[in-house]
Amino acid sequence: MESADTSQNLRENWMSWLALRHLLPTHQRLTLAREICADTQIATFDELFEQAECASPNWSDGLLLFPKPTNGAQSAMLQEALFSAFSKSDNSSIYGFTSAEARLLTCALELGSADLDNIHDVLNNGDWTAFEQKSFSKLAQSILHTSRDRSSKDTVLHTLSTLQELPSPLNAASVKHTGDLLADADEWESAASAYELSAKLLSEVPDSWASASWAALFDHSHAAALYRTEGSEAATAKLSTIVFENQVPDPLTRANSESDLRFLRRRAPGRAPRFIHASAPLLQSSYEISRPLMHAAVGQDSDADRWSWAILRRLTAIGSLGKAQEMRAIFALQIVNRDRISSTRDDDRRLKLAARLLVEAGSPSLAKSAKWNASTTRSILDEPTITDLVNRALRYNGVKLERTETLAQLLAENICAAEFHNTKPIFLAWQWIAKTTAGLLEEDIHEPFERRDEVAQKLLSLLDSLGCTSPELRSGVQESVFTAALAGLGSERWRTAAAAAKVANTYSDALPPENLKTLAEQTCEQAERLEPTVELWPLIRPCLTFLTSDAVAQVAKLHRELGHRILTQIIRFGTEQESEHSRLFFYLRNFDPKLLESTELRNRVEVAVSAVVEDTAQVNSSRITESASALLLAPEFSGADATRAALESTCRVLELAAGGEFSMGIARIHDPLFLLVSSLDTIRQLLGPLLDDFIEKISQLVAGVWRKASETPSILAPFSIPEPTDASKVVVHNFTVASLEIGAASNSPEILKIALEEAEKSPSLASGIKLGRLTYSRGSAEGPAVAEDIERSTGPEFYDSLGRWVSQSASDPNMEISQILLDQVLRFGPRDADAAVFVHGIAMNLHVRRDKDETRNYLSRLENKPEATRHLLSPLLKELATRGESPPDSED
Amino acid sequence: MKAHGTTPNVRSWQTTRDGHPLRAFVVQPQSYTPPTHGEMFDAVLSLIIGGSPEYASRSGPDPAFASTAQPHVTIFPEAFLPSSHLTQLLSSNTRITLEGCVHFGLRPRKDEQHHLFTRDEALSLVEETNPRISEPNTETSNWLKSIDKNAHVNMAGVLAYDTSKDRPALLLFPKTLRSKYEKGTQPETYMKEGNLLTVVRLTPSHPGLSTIFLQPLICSDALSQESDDGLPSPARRISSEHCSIDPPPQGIDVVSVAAHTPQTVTNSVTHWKSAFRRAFTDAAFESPFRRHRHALFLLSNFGEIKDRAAGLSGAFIPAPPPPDTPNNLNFEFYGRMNDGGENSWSTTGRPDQVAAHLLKLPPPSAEAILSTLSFTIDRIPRDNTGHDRSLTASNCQVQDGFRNSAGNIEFRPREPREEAYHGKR
Repeated sequence: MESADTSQNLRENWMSWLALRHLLPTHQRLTLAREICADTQIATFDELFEQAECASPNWSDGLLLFPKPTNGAQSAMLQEALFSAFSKSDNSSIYGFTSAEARLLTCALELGSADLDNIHDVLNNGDWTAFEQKSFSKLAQSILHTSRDRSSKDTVLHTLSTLQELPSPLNAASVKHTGDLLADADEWESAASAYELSAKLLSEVPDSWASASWAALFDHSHAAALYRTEGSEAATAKLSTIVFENQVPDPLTRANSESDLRFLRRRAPGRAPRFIHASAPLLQSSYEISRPLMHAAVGQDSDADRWSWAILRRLTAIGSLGKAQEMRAIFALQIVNRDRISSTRDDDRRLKLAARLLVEAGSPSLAKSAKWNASTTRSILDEPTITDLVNRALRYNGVKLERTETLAQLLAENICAAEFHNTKPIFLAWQWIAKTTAGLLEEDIHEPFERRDEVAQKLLSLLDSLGCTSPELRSGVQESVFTAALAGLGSERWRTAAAAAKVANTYSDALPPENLKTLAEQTCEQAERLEPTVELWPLIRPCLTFLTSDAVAQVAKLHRELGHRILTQIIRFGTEQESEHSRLFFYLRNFDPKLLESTELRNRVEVAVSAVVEDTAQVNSSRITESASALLLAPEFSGADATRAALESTCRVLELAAGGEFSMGIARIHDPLFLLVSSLDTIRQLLGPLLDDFIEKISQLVAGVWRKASETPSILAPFSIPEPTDASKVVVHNFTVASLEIGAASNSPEILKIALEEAEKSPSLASGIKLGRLTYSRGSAEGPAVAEDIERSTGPEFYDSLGRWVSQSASDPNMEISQILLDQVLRFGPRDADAAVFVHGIAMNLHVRRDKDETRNYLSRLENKPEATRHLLSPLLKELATRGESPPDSED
Repeated sequence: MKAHGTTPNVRSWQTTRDGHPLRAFVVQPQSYTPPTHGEMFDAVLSLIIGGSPEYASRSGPDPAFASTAQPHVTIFPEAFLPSSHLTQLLSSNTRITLEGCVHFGLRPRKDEQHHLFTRDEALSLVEETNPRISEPNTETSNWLKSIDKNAHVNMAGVLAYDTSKDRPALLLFPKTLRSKYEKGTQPETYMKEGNLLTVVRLTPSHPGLSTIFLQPLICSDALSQESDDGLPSPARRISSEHCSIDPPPQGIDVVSVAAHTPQTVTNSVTHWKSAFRRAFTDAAFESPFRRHRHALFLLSNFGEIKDRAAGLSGAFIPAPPPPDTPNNLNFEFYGRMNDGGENSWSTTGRPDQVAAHLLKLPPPSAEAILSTLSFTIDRIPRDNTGHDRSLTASNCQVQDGFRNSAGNIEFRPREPREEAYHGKR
C-alpha cells in the first residue's frame, strides 16, 4: 500500500499521472486506478476488476486483472479507460462516450500517447488550458511549447522551468517525460538537459515514492542521451555508476542497465573485455526470439540455426507452450525463406525438418506464408515425407485439427510451387487434402461440429485454388475431390455448401459424367431447400454457376429429369429479383425449353420476360440494349412476342440515331445485332418470314444511321457530359462490324455497302470503319488507319491493345503495321509480351538495327529485367538484329 | 413539431432499384486541383451513365454477362465541383439520366482560392438552379437569407434525376460543423455553421424493397462534436430530441461523407484520422446514435492534399466481412482477439472477432489523375438479418482515370493484386 501522501498526490493529479502511467511501477499504477475510481465516483475498482496477483519473483512486479461485467455505460467506459492504463500498447479506445469524466480520461490517455510531432493535432481537438487539475493543463502546455522550439537547449530548459512548480515528484516525472519525447524526436542535446533537470528534482522526492529506482531509471536515460551526444565512454561511465557504485535496491533497474552496458562494451574503442551476461535463465520472457531473426536477416545462417535450436530447447525445458510454438514456426520459416533466396540448395533433411516444425507449430497462417522454392518442393513432396507428415498431423487428439489444417496449407503451398517432374506425390498430397476434407465433413475426426466445419471450408477453398492454378492435374485427383465436394454440398452450413459448389464448378470439366450428375443433383437438392425470398446470393450464385456450366449442361441434355430440376432452380431464383432477370437468360441459353413442362415454371419465365420486355421500351435508359440482348440470348425461352419486342426496340434505337438524335442505346447496339445474327435459325422458327422483314428494316436503318453520321458523327458516341462533339472510334468500330454482319445476313447487302463506303469518306468515321472492316474480314489492306493508332499510343495503351494489333498485323500484307509495332516495342519495352512482336517480325523477315539508339537503350533496359525475360527476349532480338546486319540479298 | 434550432431539409426521390443490393461508386481525385474538377466530374458522370465502350469481337455472348446498371449512390469529395460548372450542366440540353444520386462538395470558383462561399454566392447558386430542377431548395435559401450578409458557408449538393417530372433533382445544403481548417481569422476563411438537417429518402420502385435513408455530410460534419449553438453533430441529431424530421427516419442506411482531409500516417501505414474512425464506430456501436446502428459510410477524399498523405476513400461497413475479402482493396478491421482486450483497429491482421471494417482504396499508379471504386453491398446492413451477419463489398471494381494521348480522361480497370494461388511463383 502507498502512503497517504502518495495516494493524495495520485488522486489530486490523476490526469497527469494517467498520461505518465508508463513511468509508474505496477503497485503505484494500481493505486492510481483506485484513486481515479474514487475521484470520478463512477464505480469502485473492485466493482470493475477482479485482481489476481501473479506468482512472480518479487522484482518483476506483475499483475493479472480480470474485467467484471459492468453496470451501465459509465462503468463500462471507466473499465475500458483503466484497461488502457494497464495495457502496454497505446491503444486507448474509450471513444464514443460523451460524459465529462470520459472526456477527462480520453484527454489524459491521448496526452500520454502524443509525441512532439502530433501534439498539435491532439490538443487542437479542444481547449486544454482550463482543466480543474491545473497540473494537467500545465503539462499539456509545456509539451506543446517544447514541440515548437525543441532544438535549443536553453529554450527547452526555460519551458521546463514552468513544470518545476508542479507538486513533487510529478514535476520530476513530467520533465523526464518531456525528455523522452525529445529523445523520440532525435533531439538528444535537449533531452540530456531535461534528464539532468529531472534527476535534480528527484532529490527532493519523499521516500515513499521509491525514488531510488526512479533515480536509476533517470540516470539510465541520461546515459542513453550521453551515448549520442558524447560517445560510448561517457555513457559507460554514467551507467557504471548505476551498476557498480550505487547500492541499487531495485534489481530490475540493474538488469536493464546491465544489458546496455554489454552493448556499450562492444562499442568501446580498443579491445572490449570479455564477460558473460546471464539474465534470468529460467524466465520465459528472457528468451528473445529476435536473436535468431537478426542473424537470419544478415545471412548468418549457422548462427541463426544455432540460436533457434538453443532457444527452442531451453523453452521446452521450462515448459513453454505458446512461445515454443512460435519459435518452431519461426525456425521453420527461416529455413524455407533462406532456401528460396539462396543460390545453393539447403540440405533435404533441413527442409523436411522445416515442414515437420511447421506442422507441429500448428499455425495455418504461418504455413501459408512459407513460400517454397520449386526445387525444394521435391524434398517435401515425396511419398515417405508426406506419410510422415500425415502421421504427425493425426498423432494427437488435442492438436489434430490445427495440425491437419496446417499440413493442408503446407502441402497446397508446395503443390503450387512444384515443377512437375513427378506427379505421383503431388497427386498423393492433393488427394490427402481432398480426403481429409471429406473426412472432416463426415465426422472422421472427433471434434465439435463447428470447428470441423470451419476447417473443412478452408480446405475446400484450398482445393478450389489448386484446381484453378493447375487445371491440367485435376483429372488425376477428381475421384477424391468429387467425394469432398459431394460431402460439402450436403452440408447444412451454407458457407461450406457455397465453397463446395465453387469446387464442383472448378473441377466440372475434369469429372466423369456420372459424378457430375451426382454433384449436380446434390446441388439441386441444396438449392431446393432454399427459399428465393431469403436471397442467399453468396450460396445461390456459385450453385447456379455450377449448374449452368457447359459441362453440366451437356450432362443435363442426356438426363431429362436432371435438366428439368436444374431449369426449375434457375427459374425459381432467376425470376425472384429484377436485377437477376437479364442474367436469367444467360443461364437459360444452354437448356432445352421443352423441359419447361409445368405451367407454373412457364408462367414465371413469362413474368420475367414481360419485365424485361417492359425495359426494352425505355429509350432513354442505357438498359434498353441490355434488355434487348437478354431476350435474344435465349430466344426459345423468350418466345416470339418478346423476340419481336427486342427487335423492335433495336429498331427504335436505330431510328432515333438515324433521325440525328442522341440515343442512349447506340453505344451497345452491336450486342443485340450480333445476337440476332448468331441465332438466325432459332429466331426464324419463332418469327417465320417476319424475321426477313426485320432484317431488311434493320439494314435500312443501319444505312440510315451511317448516312446521318456522315453529317453528324457525334450520334455514334456513348453518353457523355458535355455532349459528344465527335464520333467515338470504339463505337464506330463496333457498329461497323455489326453492320457488316447484318449486311451478310440481308438479302440486299448493297444498301449497307454503299452507305458504309460513303460514311468512310467522313474523316471522323474513316479510321473506326477501317478498323472495323479489319476485325470483320481479318484480311484487307487497311494498314494505315491501324498504323496511325499504334504510333499515337502511349505505353499502357500500347500494351493494352497489343494483342489486337498483332492479330491485325498478321493480315496486313504490306508489313507496315508489323514494322511500327516493332518500333513501338523498342520504345516501350521490354516486356514479355514483346516476344509476340519479335516472332512475328522474324516471320515477316523484318529486322532491327543494332546501332540505333532505341535498340541500344532497349538492350540496356533488358539487362535489368528478370532472368526469365532476358532468356525469352535476347535470342529473338539477336535474330532480328543479325538480319539487320546482313540483309538476305547481300548474302549471295 | 419543430425541434430547437434545426430545420429539416428532406427530399424523397424514387430510384430505379431492382433488388436488395445497393451499388455504390466512390470517386477519389488524386490531387486537389480545382481547375480540373469540373472535367473529372463530367468524365465520371459519363462513365456512370454511358459506360465505357470496348472493342467488340465477333464471338458470341460475353460469358461474364456484364450488367450496365448504374450505381445508387455516387460520391465525390468536399470543395470539389465549381458552382458555375453545376449551373452550366443544368442549363445545357444534356439529359442527365441518373438512376441513383450523386453527392459532391461544391466550391464557388474553379481557381485555387478559398472553398467557402459568400452568403450571396451561395444564394445565387440556389436561385440560379431553382428554376431548372424539380423542387426548389427553399429551406437552404431561407436559411441563407437569415444569416449575416458577410458570413461564409461551405456547400454541397446531391443530384439525381426525377423521372416523374423528367427533370433533374438537386438538393443543396450547407456544412453543419466547422473544421479546424475553417476557423480562420479572415471572414473568407471562417465558416458559418449551417443548421439544416439534410436527409434524402430514396424510395424504391418496387414495394418489396426498403426505403433507403441517405444522410449526406461534408467532412467534419461526420465528427462527434458540437455546433456553435450547442447542438450535437448531424448524426446524433437524427437520434435525439433535435431531430426535426417528422416522422423521423426509421434508421439512416447510408452516410455519404464528402471529405477533404489529410490522413494520419503511422509506421508508414495511412489511416483515417482517429476522430473519423471514432465517429464511424460511435455510429455503429454507441447508444446516442440509435438510428445509425446500421449505417454504411461511403467515403470520398482526395488522394493527396498539399503533399500530405490523404486518400483512403472507400467505405465503413458495420459488420464483419466474410473470410474471403476482395484482394484489390485494403482492409482495416475493428474487433478484438479471443484472449480478451478491447475492440480496436487493426491493419496488420484480422482479429478473431471482427465487429466492423473499413475498405480503403489503395493508392494508384503515378500517372492516374483519379481513381474510382464501385462495389455492391448485397443488402443494406439494416436488411441483413438472419443466417449470417457478415457483409462486405462484392463486385469491387477499381478503375483509374488517365489522360490519353488526346488529352481526355480515360478509365482503365486496375489489375487485382497477384495472390498466392493465381499464377505460379
